[in-house]
Amino acid sequence: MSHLDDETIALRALGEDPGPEALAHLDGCDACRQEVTALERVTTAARSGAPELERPDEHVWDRVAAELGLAPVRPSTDAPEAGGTAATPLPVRNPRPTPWWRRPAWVAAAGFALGVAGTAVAFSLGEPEAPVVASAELAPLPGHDVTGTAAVHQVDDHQVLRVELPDPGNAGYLEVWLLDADAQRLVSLGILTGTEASFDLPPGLDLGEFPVVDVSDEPFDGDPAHSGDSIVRGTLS
Amino acid sequence: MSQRVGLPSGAPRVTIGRSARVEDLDATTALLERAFLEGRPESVRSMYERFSPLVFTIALRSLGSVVDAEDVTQQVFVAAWRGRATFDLARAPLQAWLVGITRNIVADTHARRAREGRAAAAARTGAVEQVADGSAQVVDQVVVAQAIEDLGDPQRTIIRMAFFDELTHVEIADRVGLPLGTVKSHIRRSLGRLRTRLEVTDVPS
Repeated sequence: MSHLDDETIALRALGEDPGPEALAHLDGCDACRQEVTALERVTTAARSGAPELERPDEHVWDRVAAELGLAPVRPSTDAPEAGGTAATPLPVRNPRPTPWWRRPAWVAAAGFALGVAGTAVAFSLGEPEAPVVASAELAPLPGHDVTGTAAVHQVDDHQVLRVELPDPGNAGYLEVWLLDADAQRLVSLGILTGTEASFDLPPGLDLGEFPVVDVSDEPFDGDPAHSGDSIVRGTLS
Repeated sequence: MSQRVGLPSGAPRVTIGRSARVEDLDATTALLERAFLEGRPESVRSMYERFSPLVFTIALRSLGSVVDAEDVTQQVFVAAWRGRATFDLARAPLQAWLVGITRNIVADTHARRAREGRAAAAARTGAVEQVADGSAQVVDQVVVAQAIEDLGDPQRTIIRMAFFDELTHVEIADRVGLPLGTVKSHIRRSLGRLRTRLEVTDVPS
C-alpha cells in the first residue's frame, strides 16, 4: 500500500478510525507514523489545555510605555472594567452584528451580494448610476471588533472606492490603504473621518495588483508610513 | 480513542460567520514585523495588542500568579523592544521570537522563586523546595489556542468541533452543511497551520 494521504493522517491524529487497511499501514510505516505523531502534538496541546487567552490588565501596558518612554497611548481595544487583578478575555469571536439597517440599503446589498457572488453587478446610486465593479467585506483583525464594507464604483471614466465603518473605535486617526496580496507594497488613499468616505482611485492603479483594502489606526506622530496597526481588512473581488 | 456519540437526529445546523481571512491576518503580521524591524516606536503598541494575550497567558499558566505574569509580560515587551536588533525574521517569526523571550523570562522567574524558596526554607528547616515547571506544555497549549483563534471561520469552527466536541469529520460536515471533502481539507490545512505555529516556537532564542 502507498503512503497515507495527508487528510487521512490528519483525521488519524484527531483520533478518527481510518479503517483496518490504513491502520495496518501505520503499524509498518515509520514515515506516516511520524507525521501522525507530529500532528498529535497539536491535538494533545489543544485538548489538554485549550485555555481562553487572557488579556493583561491595562496598567501593564502603561508600565511598558513608561519604562520605554513611549507616549502613553493605550491600546485601542476597550479598557476592561476596573477589577484589580482580573484580566479580560481576548475579544476574538463574534463581533457585534453590524447594524446594516441603519445605513443606505444599497451599501448592504452591494457588500453582501458581491461578497458572496464575487461578480460585478450594477447598483443604482441614485443619479447618476455608478456601477459597483468590486467590493469587499471588511473583517476585524485581532484586538478589534470593527466591521465594515468597501466597494469600488465606476463613475464615468474613473473609479471611486467607498469605505464604510459604522462604528470605528480608534485611538489616533484612520487611514485607508490598498495593499498587494503579500502586504509588501501599499498605496495610501487618504484619511477616513466619521464612518464613511469615498476616495478617487488614481487612474492607472491596478486593483488586481493592490486588491486588499486595509484601514489602519495611525498615531499623530508625523510619520506617514503605515503604523502596522490595522483594524479591518478585506480583499476586493 | 474516545467514545463517539452520534448526533441526535435534527441536531441544529451551525451557521458559520466570516471573519478576517487567514491570509489577511498573515499580511497584517507582515506589516507589524516590518514596522518593528524598522524600529518604529508605535509598533510596540501594535505588537502588544496582537501578542500580549499570548505572552500573559503563557506566563499566567506557567507561574499561577497574576502579579508575576504581569511582571513577565512587562519584561517581555520591554526586552523585545530593547533587543529588537537581535530579531531575525529569517530565523523565526515575531510571534515565535516573543514566545522564546517569554519562555526565558518565565524560567528566570521560576529560578528566582526557587532561590528565594530555598533561602526561606533553609532558614526555616534546611529543606529544599522544588518548583514544578510544566512550561513546555503550557507554551504548546497557549500557542495552539492563539493559533486556533487566528484561523478565521469556517476553519476555526470546524477545528473546534474536531478538538473539543470530538466530532468525526462526517458529523462535522452534517452540522455545518459543507461537503465532506471540504471539511476534510479544512481539517488537514488547519492542523498543518497549527503544527507550523508550534514548531517555529521550538527554535531556541
